[in-house]
Amino acid sequence: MKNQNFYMRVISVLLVIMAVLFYNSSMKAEENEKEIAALTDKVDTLQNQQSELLSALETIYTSRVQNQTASAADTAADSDTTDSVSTDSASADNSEADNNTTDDTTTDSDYVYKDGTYTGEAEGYGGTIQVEVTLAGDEITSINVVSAPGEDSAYLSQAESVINSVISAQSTDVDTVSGATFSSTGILNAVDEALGKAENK
Amino acid sequence: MKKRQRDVRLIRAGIQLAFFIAAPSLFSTAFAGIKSIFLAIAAGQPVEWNSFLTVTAVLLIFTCFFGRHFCGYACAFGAFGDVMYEGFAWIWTKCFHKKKKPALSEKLVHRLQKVKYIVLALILLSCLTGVYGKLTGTSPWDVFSMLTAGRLPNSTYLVGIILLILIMVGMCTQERFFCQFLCPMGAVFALMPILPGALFKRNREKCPPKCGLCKKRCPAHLDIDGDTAMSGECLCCHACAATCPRKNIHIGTTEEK
Repeated sequence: MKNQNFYMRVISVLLVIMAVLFYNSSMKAEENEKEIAALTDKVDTLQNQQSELLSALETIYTSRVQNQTASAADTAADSDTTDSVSTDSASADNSEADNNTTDDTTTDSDYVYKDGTYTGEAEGYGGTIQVEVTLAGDEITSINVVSAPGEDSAYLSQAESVINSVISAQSTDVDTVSGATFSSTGILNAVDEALGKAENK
Repeated sequence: MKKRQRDVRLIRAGIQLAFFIAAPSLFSTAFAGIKSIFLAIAAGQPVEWNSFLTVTAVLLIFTCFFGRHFCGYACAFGAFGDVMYEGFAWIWTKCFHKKKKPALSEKLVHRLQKVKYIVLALILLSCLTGVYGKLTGTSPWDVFSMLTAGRLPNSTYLVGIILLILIMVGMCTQERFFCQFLCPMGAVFALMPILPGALFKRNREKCPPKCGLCKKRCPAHLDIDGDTAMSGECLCCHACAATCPRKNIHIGTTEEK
């Protein structure tokens, strides 16, 4: 047959592409299943909590009503007391939350880093990479690559995925991007330098 | 006749130089795309489109339609190999005058051409098993791309430096030594379905008996016959078409233009 090598190769390339697509779709399906399971779990627990809360409220309400009918109070007072119950619990929550925030503010003065935006520089693949790190309350909130004139654009955009891992790990001690080792190492070093500038001394 | 060959070579050298300056890392970017697929599978994640894969896809699609002109004209490592080979040939003629430079036999060349598939398989296997992450510093491409970026590789790249030197020695012995025998990206290109219309063909009826100049001149020692099991090895250097004394070799058609 004419051009049989060509057709054989077309078929094998299509098979490879189909295998990758099949793998991807099965992975996506698995991921979706996991997500659905996690969400149904969440919904179940929330429903349980809700019914518990409702039954608790109901018992409180009925006991109040019983108390008040026993003390021969009028129905208008009933609604007032239930209101006060809910506001009571709300204020209790608030005071708890207040406690939390006051706990935070006590450590405020001991922050490792000053708030603000700091720049850092480091050697990448073909030149200097400059990054901008924004810190708020000892948390790295954003990292931007300001300039990287020596980096190949394909590599740089790959390397920039290291930024997400830094932000989620809140540390520069993360794996570099394989395939873009130089650029991602450069970004990590630049972030390190910026953090050094931000340190409280 | 000699002038035609020299013109073709000079045009190619010019384009190679331009690509060497403008995009010296295209070949490793393209291969990084292939690796990223296997690394994603090894990590149990879905394969996501990335900037490496864009370069890979563009080059592979281009190759399917126009042959491996990327290898012949644009690849920086291929151009490096040409410089090594031709530089060594020039030194050889200066030192030994008319003595013939030793060359690999045709049979050995065809055997060695299969080695690159083993290299490709080993690299992809190391990606799948997770060994790849521990192999930093062993890639001669990393060392080469550091050098083209004007940086000196440090001692962690010792294995890569040694491999690069060995490859450079090989480049002197055979034209396009690395591309033919070792390049994992070349292996991928060679497996691509290149449209039969984009392959070099010759009109055999017009060939004088026992000529075979094209096959001798071809770096890969191919029979220029369009779609064959070996046609993926063609690096599109156009040497065959420039060498043929009867201008009997053309891309895609056996008709004389």
